Amino acid sequence: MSEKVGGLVTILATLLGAALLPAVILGVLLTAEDLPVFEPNGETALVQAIDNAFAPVDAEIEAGTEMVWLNRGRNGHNIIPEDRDPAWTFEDVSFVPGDEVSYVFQTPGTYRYYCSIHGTLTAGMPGVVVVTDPS
Amino acid sequence: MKHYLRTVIGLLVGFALIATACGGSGDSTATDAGEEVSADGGAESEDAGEESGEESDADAAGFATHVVPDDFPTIQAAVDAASSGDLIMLSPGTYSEAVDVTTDDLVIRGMDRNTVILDGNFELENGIRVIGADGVAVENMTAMNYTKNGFFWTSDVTGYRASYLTAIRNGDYGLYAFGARDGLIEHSYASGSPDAGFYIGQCYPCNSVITDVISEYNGLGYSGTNSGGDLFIINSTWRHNRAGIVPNSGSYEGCAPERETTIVGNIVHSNSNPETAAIDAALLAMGNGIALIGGIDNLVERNLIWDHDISGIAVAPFPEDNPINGIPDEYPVDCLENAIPALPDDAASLPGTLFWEAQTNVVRGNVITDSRTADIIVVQSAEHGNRFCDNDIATTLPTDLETLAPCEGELQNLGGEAFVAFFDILESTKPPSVDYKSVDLPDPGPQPNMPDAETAEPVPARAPEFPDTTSITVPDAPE
Repeated sequence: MSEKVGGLVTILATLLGAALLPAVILGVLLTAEDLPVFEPNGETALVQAIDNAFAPVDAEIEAGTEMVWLNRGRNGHNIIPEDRDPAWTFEDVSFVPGDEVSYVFQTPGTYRYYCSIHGTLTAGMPGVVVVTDPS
Repeated sequence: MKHYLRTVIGLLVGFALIATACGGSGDSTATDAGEEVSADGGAESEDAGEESGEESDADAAGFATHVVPDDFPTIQAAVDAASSGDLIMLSPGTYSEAVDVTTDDLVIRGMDRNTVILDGNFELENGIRVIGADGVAVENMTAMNYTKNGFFWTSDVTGYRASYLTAIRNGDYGLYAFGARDGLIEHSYASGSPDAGFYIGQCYPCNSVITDVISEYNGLGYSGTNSGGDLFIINSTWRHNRAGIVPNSGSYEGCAPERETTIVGNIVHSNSNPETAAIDAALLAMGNGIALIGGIDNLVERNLIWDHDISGIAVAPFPEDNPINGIPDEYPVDCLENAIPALPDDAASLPGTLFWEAQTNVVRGNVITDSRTADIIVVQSAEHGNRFCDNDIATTLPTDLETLAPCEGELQNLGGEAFVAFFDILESTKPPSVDYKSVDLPDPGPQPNMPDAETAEPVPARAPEFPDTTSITVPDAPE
């Protein structure tokens, strides 16, 4: 390797580290308080819980939409949110057949959840809500 | 060389800064699994050869043995540290744990079935839950007082085995296999669950066998929604439940409809028990020994059945309220695709109650006595093709059933008498469920232990050998 090339690589490597650093620091420092919050828009979307799956598994809604989970199975289910920031949860995460629970997602992001009775975040009975910016 | 050094230092500085900013921990990759035995795992182990432990005997044996609590303080810790093919041995004691298993081919065994007890204390959901791990065998222990299930296999499992297990007073099922195939449930006992003591659902072909089990004081002795295909329920006892053996169909799970379950050589009696915990389906089916509700192409043969408020064997439609899908036009279906519910707009066109018809079932050679309505009841018309022959019975509804719907020959009009009785039963008031936490249950006494539990080598679960049902005779009545 020539000295010129070696020097260039050294500079690039240092720049890469330096360039990524602010982004990383920004990611660490950015909190839920800094994320946009949109008002409820009066829209609803539905996820059905059957035995033993959420349908659809992947739901996409706009921020401000109320997501409703309806238990259409014969088993009781629950919705356990992934530990994330901003946090989200329900007063009662369990719902028996015929019952429904809902949550208004006001901040864009990806919200993963699962039924702890019948699975985990990655297998059995997982689900995800992708919340996008309002169009 | 100096330039190389500067390059490397530059990269290291950059990545070190990133790692520091991310809060990375230097010990994040360290586990205490390295302290344990090696995990050779044999030819089928995914991890074979990746790690070598400190205990050389594991290499010689081809598997590692992890003893709880000697080697690990909890079952979960041992399971998490184990590799495919390993044996987890549980010493006598009470374990208040809900264990998740995600590693293939583990064998989890109690040293003594009656004194190795997993207790959920009515707070934990499942005793041992196998999620998406193939070949896991659970042996020789008891699970009680879980809010959901004692032992549970789920999430597209291929290969499972439940041997010498006891499940008592669990809030949903005793032993629960959902979306699992190639299973063997044997030498086990379940009582006190509001749904079913034993359940196999959402699989086709299931390629599974239930043999030598006792199920009592549950809502249902056996339930199997949308299961079947080389599914055998044999040589077992189903007693004192609300209803005994109840394969069934429904739109709320995939793989519909239930079909091709073979029920042979069982003792089925006194399944009219009003003093059990019970879900709605158990209330609906109450008073029947074997109820084929909405199932297709099932074979019920050479069972000994007695003492039921309604029937020894019922063949009837399953009325599903508020279905989420219609009945498939063709099957077999893709099980997962079939599980997707109709969108609300489409669901609006579905009937309020969907009737899954029981069709082309065969009932022959059973011995049935002491049924208060009739020994066999058929609530289907001749066009559904159910057939009956060689049963040792006194009464049927409709009368003279084996002449009207013989195993060989033309099917004749079955009349409407049974339909009237059926709808009377549907509308009748059933004794309400009793809370599973407090329901009176018999002490089953010490249950048989797995032979050589402390010394037998682990054998991961594989597809079971199918029984030769032609060699099974009607069982003798117990003394």
